[in-house]
Amino acid sequence: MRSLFKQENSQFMIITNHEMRLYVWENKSFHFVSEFDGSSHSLEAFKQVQGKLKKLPAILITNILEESFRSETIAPVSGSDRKALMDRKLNYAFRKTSFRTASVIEREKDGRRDNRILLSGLTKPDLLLPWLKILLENKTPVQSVSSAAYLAEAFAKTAGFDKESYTLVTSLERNNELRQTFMKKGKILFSRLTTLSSRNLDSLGKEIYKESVQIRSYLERVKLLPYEEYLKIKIYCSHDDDELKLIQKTTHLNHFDFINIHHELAKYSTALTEAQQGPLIYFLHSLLQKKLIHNTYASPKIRKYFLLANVGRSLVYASFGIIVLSLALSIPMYLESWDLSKQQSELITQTQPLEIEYGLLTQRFPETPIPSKEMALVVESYEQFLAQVSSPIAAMSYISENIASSPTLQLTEITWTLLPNAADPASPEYANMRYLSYPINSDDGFIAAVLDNRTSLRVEISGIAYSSGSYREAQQQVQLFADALAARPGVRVTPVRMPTNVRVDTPVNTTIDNNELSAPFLLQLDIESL
Amino acid sequence: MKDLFSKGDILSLKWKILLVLVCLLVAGSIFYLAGLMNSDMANGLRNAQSELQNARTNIDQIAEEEATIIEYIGRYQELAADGIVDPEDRLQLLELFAEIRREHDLFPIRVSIEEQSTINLVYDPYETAPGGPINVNVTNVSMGLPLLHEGDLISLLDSLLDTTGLYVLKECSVSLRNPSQTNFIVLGQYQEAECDLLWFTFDVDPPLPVQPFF
Repeated sequence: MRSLFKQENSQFMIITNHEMRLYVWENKSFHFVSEFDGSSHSLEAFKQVQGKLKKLPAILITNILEESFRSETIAPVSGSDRKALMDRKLNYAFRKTSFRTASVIEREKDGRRDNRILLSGLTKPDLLLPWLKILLENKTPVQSVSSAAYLAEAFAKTAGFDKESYTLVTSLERNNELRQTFMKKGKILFSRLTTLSSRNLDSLGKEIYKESVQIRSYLERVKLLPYEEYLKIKIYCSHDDDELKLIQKTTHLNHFDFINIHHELAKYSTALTEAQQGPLIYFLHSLLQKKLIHNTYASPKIRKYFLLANVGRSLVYASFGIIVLSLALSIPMYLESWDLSKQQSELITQTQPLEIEYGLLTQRFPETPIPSKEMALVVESYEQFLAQVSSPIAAMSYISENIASSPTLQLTEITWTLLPNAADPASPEYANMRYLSYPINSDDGFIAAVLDNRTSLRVEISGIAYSSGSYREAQQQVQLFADALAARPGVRVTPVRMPTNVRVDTPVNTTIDNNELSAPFLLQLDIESL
Repeated sequence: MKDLFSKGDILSLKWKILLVLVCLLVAGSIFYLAGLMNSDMANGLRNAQSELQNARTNIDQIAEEEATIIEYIGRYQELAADGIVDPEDRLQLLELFAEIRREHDLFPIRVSIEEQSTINLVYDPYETAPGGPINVNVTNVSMGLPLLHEGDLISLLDSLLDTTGLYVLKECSVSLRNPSQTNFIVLGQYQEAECDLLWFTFDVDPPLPVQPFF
């Protein structure tokens, strides 16, 4: 897969005022293809070359005189307002070219703290358009259009001298073209191209020095460089300092650094000849090891095939991304499924012997008329009923035993009743009662009480007390009888009616004569046990 | 964007767009299948757990059932032999009364057998695997007879309760027919007895409850 952050194989076009040199960046190395002078022949030749190279993204780097830089201020706004302001400034400054750009350099420290912006543009688009026309006709993806100045800015960041307060990057290209790019903390503020007239190295050194001092004066005059400020001047060229003698001209204001690009490029084992090399190629070599070349001047229309290729590539990456994402999301589920499957197999292994054991147990299971639970319920309920079965015979025998103490009493009626009781939530048996939902006064309520063992026995004894004339004797006879009945624990006797009602809160009416006294009574026995 | 790319430009991406769609489909299928497989496996595991639990429960239950059967089979067979789990036989009851009367030389017995009612027996609420429904059928039987003396009633009740049927005496009363009478030399109907008893039988195969239409 291609790296998203490093430059893929591509073709580079270095465009100057005299020619266009074509290089191919392949396998981390530059190969020189050809140079074209812009004539109709060379354009035709370029067209043919493009027939083979059209798959490679094209990067155009200009190193031309007609690149202008202008520093201005705009109101401190942001977002779309800032963009609109910068577009307006660009339109005003570079009306005749579409190869233009604007960027915010810094915020001013005084006043209303305006944004300082840098406007730049290639003011002679005709130098690029013939090449671009062929590229677009070939549908070659144009990745970027940039310039030597912006390349120097990018190089400053890669080389690590973008922290310097003021730097002048000076590069001496073919045909003695001197590119001077002034940067403040790694941000480009100004750049110019000068063609040096000297031909021998000694005077070339002097001329470079002269140009450096001149540009310093200019920068001080336009207030891009404060007066008496320390300036680092980095010279990139194909010669040694022994020949140009610039380092010895270092002062407390101008510090010269000298870099022979042939020595530096030798580290990259380039296949280019010395004539095909130059500071620009060195900058590109350094940058391409780590970075992409960003677009500065090309409009979207010029870059459309590159953008289209990027969209296509994004679609392919997205497709693989989708598959990878789905796999990433699904793999844990597949693993979990596998784990679940293993657990299932273990459980089945555990279940099988139990099922065999169950089968064996079932085979030797005794035959039953009904299922065991039902059988148990029938038997237990039967025994519950049986526990409630009682007969009045025991009560009658008990009454018979005790009537002897009161010979003048005559019993006229004995009523024996098995009564259902309401459940007592406080009783320990309450929790085991299953038939509490039946109303106690209904027929089913009586059966429910029997099933819950909530019954009690009640016996009512009606009779007549006889006495020859003594009310007290009749009363005593009944009382004796009641006391005798109550003598046994588990029997509670309630005299409902006595021969004479002696309570003081009720009236007593009787006729006292010579006849034998005959008075009815009623005793109620609540029997827990006999 | 619209102005930038022509229709032809967009069409040039058709295979890549198709690739995205295919990949989306494939990715969706992978994810869906994973979910499906996961769900199937989870269900399978649940079923296997349930089957294991069932197997264990079955073995526990069969052991428990065996113990229950050993504990209750004898008594249940006695009940079956006594007809307690059969439908009530009213003719047999009337025959029984007639036989008791004959045996003890009792005065005529009035017998009234009411309509049978049913109550569902309830299993222990803590029982995790209760059995099928069991009903108990209940019939209220009222009887009355004149007595020479209390012994007649005692004989009747003793004989009745000594039979194989399940009868629970609910109420019984004995009264003097003529309290003023003091001469008991002549054999006669001096007392009157009235008793209500409940006659229980079990229905071990009750009809299913009728479902409402709506």
